Amino acid sequence: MDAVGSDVLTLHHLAVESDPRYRDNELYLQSVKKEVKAVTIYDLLNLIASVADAVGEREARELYAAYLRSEEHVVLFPRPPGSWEELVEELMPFVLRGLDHNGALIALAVASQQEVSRYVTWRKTYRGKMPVNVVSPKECLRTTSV
Amino acid sequence: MTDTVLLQVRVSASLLRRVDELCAEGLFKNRSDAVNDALRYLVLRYSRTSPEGKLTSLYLGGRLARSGSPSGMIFRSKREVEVEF
Repeated sequence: MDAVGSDVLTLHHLAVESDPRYRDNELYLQSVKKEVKAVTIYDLLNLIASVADAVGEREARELYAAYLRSEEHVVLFPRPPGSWEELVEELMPFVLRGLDHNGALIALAVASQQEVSRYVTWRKTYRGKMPVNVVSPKECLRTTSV
Repeated sequence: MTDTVLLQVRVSASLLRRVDELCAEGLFKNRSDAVNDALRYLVLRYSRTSPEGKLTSLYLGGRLARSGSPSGMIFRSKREVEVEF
């Protein structure tokens, strides 16, 4: 199962057609349309923030509810840490690989779901640092068309 | 003393054994104390006031009806949007 990053979802939901990645982004999402996809709660919140900023609060709230209700998506909520000490301990292995705080939280969430086999994002800085393979939508299209 | 009522419920034997172990470890005075603590937590969890908080509680509890997909929700921004690489 793919876990989809907030950048991929933001390009789609805000229809950023002027972005050079838009076409491949849409083709990838079309190719996995009927498959169940994972979204970490951190990616979902980042997406909601982008929609709230660009469009408005009402639309952002509707989108959050739609993701939780979606048949096509699993929202990953990792077990919340019991303390600051526990949070630091859990994040540290990922931070030491060079992930920023947001990336480390996403890595924890992805690691909480064994069925996630890859994380799909345009962010190259996450490569080699996540617990699963990090691939771009364009690369996903190449692997499915071979 | 707070007004109390007797609550009769069925629970699995294995869960009750675990509760008894927690009591034996001194975390709770007795089964009633443990059940009171669990019910306080349950009420707190479902007492969220925002719609998103309530939805999240329902989702995490596996009680949210699932249907449709957000894929068709496309929003047109009034200004130019840039998505970070």
